[in-house]
Amino acid sequence: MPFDRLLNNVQSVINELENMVVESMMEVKEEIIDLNTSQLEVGKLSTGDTIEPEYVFDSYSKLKKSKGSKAPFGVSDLKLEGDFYSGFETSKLSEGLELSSKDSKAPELERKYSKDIYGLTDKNKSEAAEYIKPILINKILNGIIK
Amino acid sequence: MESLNRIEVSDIIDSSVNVELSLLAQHLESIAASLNAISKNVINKVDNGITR
Repeated sequence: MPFDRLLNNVQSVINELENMVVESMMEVKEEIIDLNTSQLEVGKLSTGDTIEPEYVFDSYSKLKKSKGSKAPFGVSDLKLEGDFYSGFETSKLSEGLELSSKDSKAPELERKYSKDIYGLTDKNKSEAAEYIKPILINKILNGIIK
Repeated sequence: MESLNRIEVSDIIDSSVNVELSLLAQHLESIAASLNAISKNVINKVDNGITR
């Protein structure tokens, strides 16, 4: 490879780096969605706090537990039929990606439990980064040696 | 302020990646300059040999 081209490729990678990261994120969007819904399953917001408010009736909390809820007793997991979870989607932004659910109950759940039902805890962001890094490294190397 | 419902570029990489790539570019520029100097030197020597 001509030396000038190699140098130009490195400069292009520097200029395109943010976009490469976002593209890499989009390639693992299903894994990112799984991380988000797995937080909700155990009753956690992206802040790491417990989802609030708790259920009003103990009888309902018992019912949820009997149906296998992994969230602590009384804590919502936002899951009954699973439509809210299966409606999860990602939107590509210039600086990253945004999580939301296209389920019809989403606006109501956001009002009740806050928009922090979307997004990842710091621990899960680190896990997402582990999925993203090999893809990103590949993009950087391909960009340099193309 | 960072929105919690987003995963941002800064969550995945820090500025050190950019710094490393910039250093790589600087190294490559320096190597290119050395190669240029070497090739000019070789050309001069060949020219001198021809014209001697």
